[in-house]
Amino acid sequence: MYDVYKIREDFPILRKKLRGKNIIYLDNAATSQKPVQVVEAISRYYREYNANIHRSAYLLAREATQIYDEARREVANFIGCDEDEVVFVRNTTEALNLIAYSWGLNNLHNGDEIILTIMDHHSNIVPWYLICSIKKCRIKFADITDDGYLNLSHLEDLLSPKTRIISVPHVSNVLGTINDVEYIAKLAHEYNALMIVDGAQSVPHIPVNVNKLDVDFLAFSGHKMLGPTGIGVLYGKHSLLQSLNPFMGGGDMIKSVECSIGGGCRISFEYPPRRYEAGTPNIAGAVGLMEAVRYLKRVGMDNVRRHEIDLTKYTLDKLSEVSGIEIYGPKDPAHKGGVIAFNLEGFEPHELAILLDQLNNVMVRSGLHCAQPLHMRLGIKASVRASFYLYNTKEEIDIFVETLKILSRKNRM
Amino acid sequence: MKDKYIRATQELCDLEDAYMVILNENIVNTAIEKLRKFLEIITYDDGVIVRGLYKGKYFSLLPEGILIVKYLSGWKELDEVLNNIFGEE
Repeated sequence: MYDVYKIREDFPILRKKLRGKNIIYLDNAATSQKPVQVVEAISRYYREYNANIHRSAYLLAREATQIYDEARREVANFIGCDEDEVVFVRNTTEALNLIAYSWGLNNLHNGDEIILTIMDHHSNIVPWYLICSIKKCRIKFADITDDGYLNLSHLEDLLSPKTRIISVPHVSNVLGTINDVEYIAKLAHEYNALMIVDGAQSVPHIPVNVNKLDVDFLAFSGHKMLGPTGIGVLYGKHSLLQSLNPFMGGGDMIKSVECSIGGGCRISFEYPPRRYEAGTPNIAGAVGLMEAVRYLKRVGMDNVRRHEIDLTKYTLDKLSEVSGIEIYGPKDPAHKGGVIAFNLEGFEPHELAILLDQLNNVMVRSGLHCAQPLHMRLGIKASVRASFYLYNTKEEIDIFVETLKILSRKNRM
Repeated sequence: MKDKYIRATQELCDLEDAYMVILNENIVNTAIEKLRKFLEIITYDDGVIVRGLYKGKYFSLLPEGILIVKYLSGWKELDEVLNNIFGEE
């Protein structure tokens, strides 16, 4: 049985008091809190295993290498792929940039088209914009429906023989919409296009199996899934990773560097995934991510998902009692991640977020959430976003909603 | 003189024309009085929110001395309006 209170015991920060009250952390789409197991694994790594990997022959360095490789295996197992299909990067943004520069620079040509969605995070727009400005390609944005779903028929209308890439968020970081990436991947492959998925908001929250989805690339961040900041993952199909040039060059990603004085260089690259991990990587970060993945596996991703559906349904029901609230995105928790974006009449989003914090330590995000095109599409300047994770409770939601009600009433006085 | 009243300033998430100003705790009340003198008040809900306009800029004063200033062209203009309000004894 899912025991949220037992889970909360693993998160020391949730016992922190501010202004004499408990904190209510509802900004999980920005970053998650960390269980003590992750914090201790990182600490243990530095206390007992710290050495550089893939380089030195002594025992401690071999132990460090083993633990780093073990982290890669754990992550691969979590998303259902082989370990050599997992590239450690800093975060989702770096993973998407890696694809854009490694694949895009070498494979896109004048007139090629890339399909994104209007609900995309800036990290899945800006890299493609930069590459398109170099390669003279064109980005097309698939629209959303009025109720916040991806408009699949519009996306299909955008497909053409010029389509080289479809890149979509698995779960919108604003609307919470869960996109049918398995179906979109089929469409992409019918057109011989690459299917790229921004999994920043899905991998931490719903079971994800890359083989089942048949996506070509999947990017996600460790810090949104109980792991530390500075470590993320790019999954790529082996054949694709094998065929690409590296994004960054340096140590550890080469087989040989032969240079002659007064002459040129001949360089051969390592096999993937090391080809894409130039320099000393974030070893402790990988260790932390491994422990985070183990934690999520112990809880069970199906259980995490069920808990978030339950919380989202509860919150949407409660929010319907708040007068002057406008909620964006799907209202069916079965098709939505634990993300609710909204505005409250009479308040600027930043005012509202600050007041929720000041009145009851309710921590939510306000602004554009790195999704300005979506806000423009919705016709709003900004929004407030509450986002949940495995440790949030209905009692926290009650306080969140009650605070909104108080503010709503004040606005009407 | 401005520093006497202001502890920190930061840009607000994603919004290029909005800034958050954190007033010094020990002089929050004095700072509020200064603001009230300058602002054309549009909302006054004591202890919750005071909103006002000054030279076309939107000010929103929240508890704990947090001030949101909007519709600015950049840091320079923020500095100018804060100097106007807090710069004189």
